Formats: sequence, C-alpha cells, structure tokens
Amino acid sequence: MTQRHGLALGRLETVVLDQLWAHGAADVAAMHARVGEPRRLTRNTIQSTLERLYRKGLADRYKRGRAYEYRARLTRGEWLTQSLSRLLDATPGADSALVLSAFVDLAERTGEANLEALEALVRRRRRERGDPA
Amino acid sequence: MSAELGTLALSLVALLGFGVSTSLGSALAWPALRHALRRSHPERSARCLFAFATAATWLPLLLLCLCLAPGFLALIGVSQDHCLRQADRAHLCFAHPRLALTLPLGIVLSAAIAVLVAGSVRGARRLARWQRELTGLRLVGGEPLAAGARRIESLRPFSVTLGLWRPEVWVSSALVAALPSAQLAIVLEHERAHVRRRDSLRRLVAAVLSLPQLPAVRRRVLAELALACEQACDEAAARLGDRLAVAETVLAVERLIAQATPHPSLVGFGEGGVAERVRSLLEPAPAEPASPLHWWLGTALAIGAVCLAHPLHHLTERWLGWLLSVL
Repeated sequence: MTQRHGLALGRLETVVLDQLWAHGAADVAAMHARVGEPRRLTRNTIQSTLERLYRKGLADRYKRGRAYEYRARLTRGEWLTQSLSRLLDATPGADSALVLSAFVDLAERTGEANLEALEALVRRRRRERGDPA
Repeated sequence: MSAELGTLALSLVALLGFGVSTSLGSALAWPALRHALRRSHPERSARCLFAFATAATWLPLLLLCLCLAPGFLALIGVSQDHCLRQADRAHLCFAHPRLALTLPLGIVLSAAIAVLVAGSVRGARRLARWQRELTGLRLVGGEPLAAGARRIESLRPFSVTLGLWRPEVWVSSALVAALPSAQLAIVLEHERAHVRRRDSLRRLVAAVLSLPQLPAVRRRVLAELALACEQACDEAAARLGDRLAVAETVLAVERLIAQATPHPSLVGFGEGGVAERVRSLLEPAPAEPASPLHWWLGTALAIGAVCLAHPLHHLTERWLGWLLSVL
C-alpha cells in the first residue's frame, strides 16, 4: 500500500472524509446511503473514492464479513493542521504562497531587535501625539 | 501551408526578440521606477507594479500585433497593400506569406510550441492542486467569525485571505484569542481589502506573466508588488480611524507569530515587509491618486501604437532579414 499523506483531495473525497469524521467508520453501503444517494452517485463511485482515501493514507480499512469498513486515519484537527501547514509554510514565491495573502508574512520574521526598535518608534509617536500610555 | 508556417515561425522569432528587449529594458528601468513608486500611493504603486511585472508578456505580444497589423489592415482593405515594396525582405505578413518553413525555423516553431504547452499544463496542474486544497479546507474547516471571515481551530496565530476567484478570510482561533477586539477589527478590515482587491489573483497573474523577466528583476518586482498590496490594505484598515493603531496591530501580530514559530531557524529574517509597512503608517496618510493614471497611459499607448505600426513593421522585417542572412 502506498501512503501519501498530504495530497490535495478532490471535492467528493473531502465530503466522504468529512462523513468518516462525523459518523465514524463506515462500509461502502453505509457511505453510499449517506453521500452517494443524495447526490445520485453510483456505489462504484463511492467505493473508488474510499479506495483513493485508503491509498492516500487518509483512511484505514478492515475486513468486516465480506465487506471492508473504512475509518479516518487522521482526526479532523490533524488533517486541518497538515493542510494549513502546506499552505502557510510555503516559502515566499512558491505556488501556494501565491494563493494566499497573510496579514503578516508567515515565512519571514522581522527579528527581535528590529521588532523592539519598531515598537519603540510607535510608542514615541504616541507620546508625541499626547495619547495616553 | 509551409509559407504560413514560415511566417508563424518568423513571428515567433520576432516575439522572442521583443521579449528579450523588454526584459533588458525592464531591468534598466527598474531602479528609477522603484524610486518613483516608493513616493506614490500604494494603490497606484500596486497597479503600476502589476503593469511593469507583466510587461514582459503583454508588451512583446502588443509589439508583434503591431508588426502584423499592416498586413491584416491591407487584407481587410483598410490600408494600401505594402507587400509589393517589401518583396526582398523577411516578410512579416500572413496575407502574403513568402518564407518557406526551413529546418531552423521549424525547430524554433516546434520548440516554442512545446515550451508553451508544457509550461501551461504544468502551471495549470499546480494551480488545480492548490485549488483542491483550498476547496477541501472550505468544505471541512472553519466557523463564521464575522462577515466574510471564518475562524479556524489552530494553535498557530495567523490571518490569511485564501483563494483566487472567491477569496475568503481565515483567522486562527489562537489569533482571535490573543488580540483585543479593536486590533482584530483592524486585521479583518485589512483582509477584507485583500478580498475586494483580489490580491491573490493579482499576484498569481503577475507571477505567471512576469516569467520572461530576468530572474533577479522579477523577484524584486514581485516582492515590491506584494508589499504594495499589503500597504494598500493597511491604508484601507487605517480608514477605520487610527494609522498608529494599524501599525501597532501589525507589530502585535508579528510578535505573536514570532513567539509561536516552533523552529525559528527555519524561517527567514529580514527588514522585510513589516518594517516598511510600520514606517509607512507612521507617516501622514498619502494623498489619494488624483487622476486615473491608467486612462492617460492607455490613451498614450493606443496613439503611440497607431503611429508606430508601420515603422516598427519595417524595422522588424529588416532585423529579421539580417538575422536570417546571418543564420
């Protein structure tokens, strides 16, 4: 089995994973009832989606009778942290850095000495303006 | 068909020549432009920097269109046929193509098409991957924080605007908990300005269309564009009231992120954006752009284009003729 954590997911994969987090382990039939039928998707589509999640290392599967039961390998929080990290930890100029704008650059720090100097500058300007401390 | 392909290959050679000239011209013009833009309103700076960054793509294409214009204008009967007088030169005209596709021109044509297709496919795949990542985050994470903003559970303090077509503001629970409400309002106003201005899309387009620029120039122009976008959003947040409060918020968020950085050795340190933004916010508010500069520039460009079409066409043919004789 190839385990490739951190691959971007398709929309259906995300929905299925979300269901695994919300309702716990499920086999293909149960997932089809929850996700496939409302969207008029075939059982095969749901089966291959669960299979892809398993191959990407985001779901585990166990044999239950004649069917596999799937459960999420990561918690929702762990997955969110991984996904966000891929976006936020991108070096400046990387692809992912281009699809987001951060309030303060997340990849480059100002440095303690510069930060203190800037804070002192702002405090002095407040004093000059007569603002309360 | 071979003659049309020959003209197409010749056009690509001309485009390459225009591209190289534009990139070199941009490198020479950059120091003066940077100096001039530092004194203008960030909104205007961002627009000018976007136009400058992308010039390496749109200017060569515009020049090529101008070169081909006399032939097309003659074809639709708008102007006299100029081709008969130019029979002995490398002929840039699809109406009367003369140059057969030779092996060197065929190689140029094939290589140009291969590079373009491969680059486009690669870029589209990478973009689709990040879009999928964002879609996944949208579907799974976050709860409403304020209009157009979501709060996401995370121990890392951050606030970002994610997405190209329908950008959204995401603020981490750590930042929400750490900032006073007045500073949080400033952060949200800053991010909403990014959403209104579609800065992520603007920066992505600039990054793609600036690829023909010299790498060192491109890096600096894109960094300057990112800074101008941030400063424009700072100015938008400062309209809530106090410029000093915006400067304090920038510093507060910078300090929170610095404290929460698990491996400080893995991130870069520099004067960077924060210092520039804070110093700019300590100055009086810059004057709003008085006149729509882009209309004047657009009009000047259109008039210049009409006047330059014929001389440029003949000059380019002469240059291509010389190049073919050398090769």
